[in-house]
Amino acid sequence: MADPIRPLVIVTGDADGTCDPETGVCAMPEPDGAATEVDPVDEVISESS
Amino acid sequence: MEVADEPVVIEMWTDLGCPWCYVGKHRLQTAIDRRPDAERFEIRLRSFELNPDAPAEPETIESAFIRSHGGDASVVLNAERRIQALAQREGLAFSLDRLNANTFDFHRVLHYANAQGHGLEFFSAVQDRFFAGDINPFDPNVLVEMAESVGLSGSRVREVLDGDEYADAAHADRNEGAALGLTGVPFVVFDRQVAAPGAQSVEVYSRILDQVTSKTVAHG
Repeated sequence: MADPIRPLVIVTGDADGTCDPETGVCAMPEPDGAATEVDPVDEVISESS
Repeated sequence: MEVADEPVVIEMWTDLGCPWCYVGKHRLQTAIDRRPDAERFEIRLRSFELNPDAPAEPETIESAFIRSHGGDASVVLNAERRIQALAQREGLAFSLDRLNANTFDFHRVLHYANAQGHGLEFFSAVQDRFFAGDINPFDPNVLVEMAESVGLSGSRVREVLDGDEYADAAHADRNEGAALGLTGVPFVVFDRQVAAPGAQSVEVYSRILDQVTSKTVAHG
């Protein structure tokens, strides 16, 4: 894609799960776990450039 | 065009076999569909092969896990059951009898579908029926059939599958995702402003949509 890479705000909202490209493993929720609601604006964990 | 009506591009890095990509895409779509301006949003699916070394020949999820990690398949089966329960609570069919194999050819066809403007339809059709346990998407004939079901040319899909078209594009997607900070899939980038890793809740996706549209209005 031709779009330039621009700075990004990366948010976390306690995602239920993700699949890790390094291990190929899909992380699972804890049995008693539930997604926590967050404000994306307040949950900036990093910015990339 | 009013600024508030300008299209918003949402890019989703994803892989076919990734259960969280399945759950996450449906949640994202739900968040979009709840909005009165839902038609503003365009989801573009980007390729990210989770396991480029996966064999071409399909195998069961248990076999794939044991081959790559060793040990006891009960680990992956227990995890699958937990995702199944979560998916089913959200109204999504989720079979534990899915197959696992290399998805690179699927991604090449996805790029062809994207080029024809049918990428989301094609991916969604294959993903939904794959997770429902209805199809083996690693069978070229099935991919052709699925492509035709969304209006794509079956003969062109066969040409893509028989050659190496879109291989560079699929690789480039993976590299671009990594450059944007991808550490896992799904990885959703909203208007190149905000990125959300993993399968977020509908509420989080909704708030990000609010955020990026307000930025578009403010800065657009």
